[in-house]
Amino acid sequence: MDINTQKLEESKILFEDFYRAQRDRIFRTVFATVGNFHDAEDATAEAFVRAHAQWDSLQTHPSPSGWVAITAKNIFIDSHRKARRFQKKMMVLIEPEAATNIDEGFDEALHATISQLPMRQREVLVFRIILELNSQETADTLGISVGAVGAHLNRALTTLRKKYTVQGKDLS
Amino acid sequence: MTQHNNQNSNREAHDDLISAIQQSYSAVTYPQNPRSSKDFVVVKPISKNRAGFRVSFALAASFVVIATVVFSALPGSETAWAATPKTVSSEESERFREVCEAATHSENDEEALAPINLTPPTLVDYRGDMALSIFTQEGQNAICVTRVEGDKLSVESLTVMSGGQESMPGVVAESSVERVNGDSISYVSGFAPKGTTRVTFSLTDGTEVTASLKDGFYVAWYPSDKRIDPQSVSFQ
Repeated sequence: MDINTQKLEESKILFEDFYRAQRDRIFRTVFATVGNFHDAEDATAEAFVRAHAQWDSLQTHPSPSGWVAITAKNIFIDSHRKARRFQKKMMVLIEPEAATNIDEGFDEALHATISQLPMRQREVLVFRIILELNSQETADTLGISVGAVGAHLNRALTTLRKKYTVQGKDLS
Repeated sequence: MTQHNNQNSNREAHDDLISAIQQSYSAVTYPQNPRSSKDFVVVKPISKNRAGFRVSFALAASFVVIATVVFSALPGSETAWAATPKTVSSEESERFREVCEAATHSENDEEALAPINLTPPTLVDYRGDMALSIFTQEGQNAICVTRVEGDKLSVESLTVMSGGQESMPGVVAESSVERVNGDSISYVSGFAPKGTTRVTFSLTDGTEVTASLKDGFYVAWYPSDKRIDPQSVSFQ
């Protein structure tokens, strides 16, 4: 085995470790960000493909899992732009079927409320709470300051509590 | 420091809410691929033209199949297949549309399939003696498999689907559709990256296949006893 092949094999192993360890957490993050299960599934898969293609450089990123999640969100946004054009051209009806990988403990009302948060607040919320990045990693991944991360998170939680309480869920 | 302390106390004030969010989303897991023991096939990037690949039912799974009707087979007929598709003229395309539409209006068939009116096919992949036509139109989508023998066209199966969504450009979806005698054919379909003029891939037996491509949408069928080599997909 030459040195390049050996490097490729090592890189592959590390990527696979990363993928298996992070896939659920990243998928939850993307799902909470984009709102729709199947859109999240497609975007996450594509983001993992891209992560693998540039895994060598991605390993030095402050948060590879944050990179995959934000890439998936961008893929989702791009694909929706294309989907709108596609719908006009091909007249395909987009109607996602019911999700199948969600267990009983999932709170649909909470998910719906999170989906209504402004995108930046939602991103910070899911990166900090679901992806479990720290403030610095979140700031680096989203390209904002650590102070802004704290402010967005606080606004998101405050808004969420108000709206969620309005829906009759008393968390206290 | 004061700002940091405020952030911490704000977060603590929401501990119950944070727990509720984490608990709720822990019920969500990344879908496992129903066809493969690997839910994500890692491929080595061979060149910029090589596509990432994941074995999936992305196209078919995102549609709801309303009905599949498998029609009668021509006795003793073997399926011929070719690695390169034939060029389909607009007249031939119209003939495929007509025969597929007529199949849904057949009074002799006992299968329950409401008659539908088909618009011209989005794409026809005609190779060997079989053509796989894909129709996409409002509210319904159809995949029609037609056998060609000389001037005679006979529909082998027709699958009508509702809803669904496209797969990502560059991500290849492998699906299959039933045909006669409980057999099936496999096909790949999807959207090519912008500027693509040729889509090729290899089967595991080494055969290089050229897909039919039109307006960024591609499709290629192949016998179901063959599998696609996931490392070989190339958008040129």
